[in-house]
Amino acid sequence: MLVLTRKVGQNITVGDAVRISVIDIRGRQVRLGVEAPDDMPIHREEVYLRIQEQNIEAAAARTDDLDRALDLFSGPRDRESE
Amino acid sequence: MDLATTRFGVVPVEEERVLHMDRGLIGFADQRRYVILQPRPSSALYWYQSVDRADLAFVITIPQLFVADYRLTFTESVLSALKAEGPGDLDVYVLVTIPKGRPEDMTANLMGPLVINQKAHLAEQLIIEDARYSHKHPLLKRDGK
Repeated sequence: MLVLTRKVGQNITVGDAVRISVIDIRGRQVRLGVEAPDDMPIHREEVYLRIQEQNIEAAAARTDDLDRALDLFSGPRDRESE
Repeated sequence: MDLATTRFGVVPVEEERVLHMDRGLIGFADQRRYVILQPRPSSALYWYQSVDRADLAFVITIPQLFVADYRLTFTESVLSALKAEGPGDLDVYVLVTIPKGRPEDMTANLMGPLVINQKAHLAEQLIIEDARYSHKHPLLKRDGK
């Protein structure tokens, strides 16, 4: 990993299209600004990983459990039409 | 085309129902083509089945069935990535997790909606950072009343 030391107001450029700025430092918190092309998603890593983990869990769904899940809904929801 | 699936055997699918994801689902970047399958007529849950990996399928639902005020605002870049002229072109689904053997504990991921432009056959999973929306929103009330 490349490690760089920066001061508030200084930037890092990544390729031609990405610029990361150090906006503020307070105690143990750093505020960063990221300028990047619109089609490049930027997320806090823990949020991204949470979605990824949830997707992996969701991918394990079984058909018998889905059938039972639908039965759990079908009480009030579907009987209205009967 | 005939679609081979682990869960449902061979399913005939019209080509125009295939949805393309430029980035895939988060964590599944290699699978870029999916179709929506309905397990029963007028069911609230659907399968989001990978075209290229027979064993990969996700349960999805329409979030407003469970969270009436679930609303997303789409940035210009999302609209253009999905070739949408406006938000009206987009359908929103969310992925559902059904824990093995415990369907009563199923949850929906409101933070990672799946946004689809049916007309353009394009789909993308967004990440929504909004404190109101959980990645494990329970779909069934658990108070037993």
